[in-house]
Amino acid sequence: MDTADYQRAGLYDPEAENAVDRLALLEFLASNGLTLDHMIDAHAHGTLAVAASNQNLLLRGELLSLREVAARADMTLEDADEGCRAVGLGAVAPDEPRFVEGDIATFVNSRLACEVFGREATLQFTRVAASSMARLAEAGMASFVSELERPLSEAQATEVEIARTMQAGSLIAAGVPTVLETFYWHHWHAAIERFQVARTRRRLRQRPARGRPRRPRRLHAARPSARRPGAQPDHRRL
Amino acid sequence: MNASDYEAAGLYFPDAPNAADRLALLEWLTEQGVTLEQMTDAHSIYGLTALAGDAVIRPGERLTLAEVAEKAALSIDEVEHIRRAVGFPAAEPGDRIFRPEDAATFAAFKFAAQVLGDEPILEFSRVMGSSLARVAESAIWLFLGNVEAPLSTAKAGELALAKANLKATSLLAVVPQVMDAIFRFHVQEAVRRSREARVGVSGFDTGRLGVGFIDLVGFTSVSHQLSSRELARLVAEFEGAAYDVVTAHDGRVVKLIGDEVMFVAVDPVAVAEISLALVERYATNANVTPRGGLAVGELLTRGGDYYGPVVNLASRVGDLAVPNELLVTGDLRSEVCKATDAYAFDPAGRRSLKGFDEPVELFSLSRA
Repeated sequence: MDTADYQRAGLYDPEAENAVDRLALLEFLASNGLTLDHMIDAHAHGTLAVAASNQNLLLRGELLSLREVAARADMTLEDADEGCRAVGLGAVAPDEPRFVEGDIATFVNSRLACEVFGREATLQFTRVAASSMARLAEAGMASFVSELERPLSEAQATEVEIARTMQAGSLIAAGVPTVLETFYWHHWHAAIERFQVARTRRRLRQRPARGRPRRPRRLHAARPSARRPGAQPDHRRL
Repeated sequence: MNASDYEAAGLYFPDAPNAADRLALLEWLTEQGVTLEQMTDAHSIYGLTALAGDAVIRPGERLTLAEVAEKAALSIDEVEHIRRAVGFPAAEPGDRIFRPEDAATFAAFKFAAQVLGDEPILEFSRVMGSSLARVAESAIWLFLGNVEAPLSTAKAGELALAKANLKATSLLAVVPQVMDAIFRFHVQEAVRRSREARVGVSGFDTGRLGVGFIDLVGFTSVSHQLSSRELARLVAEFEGAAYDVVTAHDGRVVKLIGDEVMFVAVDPVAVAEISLALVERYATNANVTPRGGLAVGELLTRGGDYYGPVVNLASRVGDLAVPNELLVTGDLRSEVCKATDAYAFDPAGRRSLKGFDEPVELFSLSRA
């Protein structure tokens, strides 16, 4: 792509006051893999400066409807719809293309979880996970606006400066799921540890008072009542 | 391995009442690739039934704090600083609790701090830590309440529990992938909501939104009369209703605190509709009755929560409402009336509210 292509597409006017800045932006977008069609589309939506960062955040690929996703996940449309509401998607028209291929696995897992944990419990868990993710997404968005948009606006940054900064910010956002996975497991282990300690304390409290005769017992216990002194606890257990 | 090996290791007593079940469990664990040493170690700490499930969750090498810090090119203090923000106490130097891949996560924090600044990243980390802790606890209680408890009640035995544990753990192991999909969706929603809320707003920390507080009158007294299981069901019903109704009208549940929900929506009409729909859901419930307070204006948004005088106003107004009443401010009434005539607003007087210098004019919301 060159200036003539940009000019023909209505993205660049060499006579315009910000021509140098706009050309730098278009070259930056091209170097980040955006096609001319992408740029034209972003320009039409007024999002040219954030087109590269949007590319890192928005869903890509062919979009599927809820009806298609439900069929491929072997679920009824009603169950899929209920799952969507628990996630926080709101009303989704059955034939509205809104999902990507990767979402099918999420619906399959939801169906399997309903089979193991029960429908209501699974929906309740989904609401907890979804509200946590919604809170996190809003927190990230607030930081984005406050820490990136504000300084750019106050400094009257050029389009390419905005694009570069937003690109860096979007890379952070795109990396959040990996960070989530890491710390989710650490929190899982911590929660298991807390639970095991609470259960051990409860068992100890329930032991017969000292001096009371104890019934001889030799039963394979599912869980012993106390940890071995000095043993390294493995937090991963349910 | 055979029964005498298990016996010699102190894992199996042939004369115990549940000997057959224990032997079946040990044989099944052996089939799953668990070694005698792993069994002995697990038995002496927390028991055997979760051992097969352990292998599903992030198997592989583990590093110490110093090792993961070195791999991430950070100091131990820097790694501990991040861990504290995410909600963990200091790690013991010898504990092998980090995967090699965790180093990339810690390194990512440094990059993020360079772009956004230290404080915003730490603040985001705190939100992330508390959110993940909640999800992890919820996942564990999902297993305990819905898998382990029924099996224990039915005295299903150790082998059944171990098999159920493996199945459940395999499912819960995909939670991070599910969170990934949900997070990406909510990022798009947060971007959209932020853009809509900031139309006509000059600040970078605020957005114009409607905010509502709905609580259940009678909940506290009812909670004293219910068993823990019944109370859990009542809370779950309220949460389910709140999420369903708020989501269906393009709002967001900000938080649930026992018997109270706080929610926001960009459209004030949606705030009115959500509140009425929630009240209507409980119309036939003899035990609890909803009431609420609604307001609209510029809200300070921070860490996924909302703050400021308008939030306080909605909360205070909600406290004044009687059962089945929804009290709204004059601003909210004006904006809703501009958009639709589907609602009626009866004057509810001017009220003095704690923290507000002037009395506030209020209206009682209902359907027209």
